[in-house]
Amino acid sequence: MNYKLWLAAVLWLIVQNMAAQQYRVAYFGETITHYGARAGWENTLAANDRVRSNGSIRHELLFSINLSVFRHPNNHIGVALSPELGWRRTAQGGGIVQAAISAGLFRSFYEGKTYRTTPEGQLKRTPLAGQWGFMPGFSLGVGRDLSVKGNLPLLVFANAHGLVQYPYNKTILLRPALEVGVIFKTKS
Amino acid sequence: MRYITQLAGLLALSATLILMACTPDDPAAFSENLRLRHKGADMPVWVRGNMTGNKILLFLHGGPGECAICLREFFADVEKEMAVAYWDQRISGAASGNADPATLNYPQFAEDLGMVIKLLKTRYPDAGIYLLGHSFGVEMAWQFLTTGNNQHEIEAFVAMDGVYATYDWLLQVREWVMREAAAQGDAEALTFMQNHPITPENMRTVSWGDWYSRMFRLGANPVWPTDDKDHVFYLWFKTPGSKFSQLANIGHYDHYYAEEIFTFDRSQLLKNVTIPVALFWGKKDGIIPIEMAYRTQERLERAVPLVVFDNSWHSPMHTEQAKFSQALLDFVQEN
Repeated sequence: MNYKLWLAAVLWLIVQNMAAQQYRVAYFGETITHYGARAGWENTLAANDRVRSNGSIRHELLFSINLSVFRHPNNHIGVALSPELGWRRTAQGGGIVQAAISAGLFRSFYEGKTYRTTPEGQLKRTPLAGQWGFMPGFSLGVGRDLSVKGNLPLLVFANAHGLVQYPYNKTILLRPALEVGVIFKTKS
Repeated sequence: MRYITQLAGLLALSATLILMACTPDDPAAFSENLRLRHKGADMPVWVRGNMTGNKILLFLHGGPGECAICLREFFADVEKEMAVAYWDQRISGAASGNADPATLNYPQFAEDLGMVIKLLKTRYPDAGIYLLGHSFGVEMAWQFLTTGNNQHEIEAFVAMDGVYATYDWLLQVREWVMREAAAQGDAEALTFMQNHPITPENMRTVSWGDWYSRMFRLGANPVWPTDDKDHVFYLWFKTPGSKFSQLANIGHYDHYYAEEIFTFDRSQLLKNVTIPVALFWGKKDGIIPIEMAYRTQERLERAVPLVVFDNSWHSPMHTEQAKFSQALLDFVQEN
């Protein structure tokens, strides 16, 4: 992996941003002591409204791009860029349940000073050392759309994430995470 | 108004989570995070403690596959007097990278140790390095110290509940199980061991599950740090690594326990070790019985002190922390 991949990802982010319908920002961490933040752009690809006597139930197919930054203190800072395909059901009262699957490009940055060994057996300082990897995953969540029974264009939500980092010592590393945040709706 | 209240509540929750997440500054007088990238492994080394005396204790954790920094709480008194370097070995603890499990072999362990010492000397050129090996960490240290002139890279070595040769260890464990089984009236365990004599030729057929289940049944090590809820909380929420990283690494040791461990034998080389050595041992240890300490003493040509922890099993730094700390600091002071 090299900078071209990151450049392509950033360009994709910009395009998504231009067409975005919703923005999200959230706390994102493995635990409360391994903390971080997540922000993203979200588009509704398709929606279906089922009208009921007391309102309508909305199903949406969503696509989003998210950037997560989290910290394992005294270990590393992790950055993940994750395109995500999701489904959201919004009930008559505004309650939502949602699920998503995501791909992810991951980079860690080790805290502290990293030295690598040279073929001659010497040590050489390595700035910005870390590890590249993929980080696919899934999430399940609940929340509330505050625009359904009010006029606030906001969703509040909490997602539980199951993420896996690959490679990690020739295998995968499970990285569960909690996301609690807000989605700002800019278009109806 | 209700929505404003909900939003405010959410923001308050987020702020609380972030504030709770903020790890306070490390209280250690000296604190530096290092990492060694070597042959596929990115191994963290956390240096903590008191550096004013220019003495660093390099802690070699057990397992293999355990972690060093996760036992830091047992070194609180040591850190007040000297620095401690907590090194998570390759494919262990919080070590990351993409190391090949095929590198889990004794020559590589020793090579890694040599590079970590070199790293510490690069960062702290005036400091003297002392080794403390626990369990598997002792094996790693003997492999290192009996290779070339490596021993002269360090000031002294403390071996705690660890072995110099797998075969000799198995012999002593078998004796311990038979002795305890007879004393405790466990006829099944006694018969099992009587029916499974150990020779250099057949030791590869040892069934670890069969041996360890009987060892633990007889009280080989009834006290673990993880019996303490506070320690478990510390492991999950206060250590730099992730508990999931250890789970990811477990499967990589199959070859080690099937093949590599049986290659370990430094018994004929211990006599070449001339640096100061001390042996720390839990008197009640059934995992590595104290008879191994006596065998180690016999094989070392220079006289080495044996500090016996009467109320300890496999991990005296956990069960007799105060005595452990004082004995360790005394030994470092003398050497």
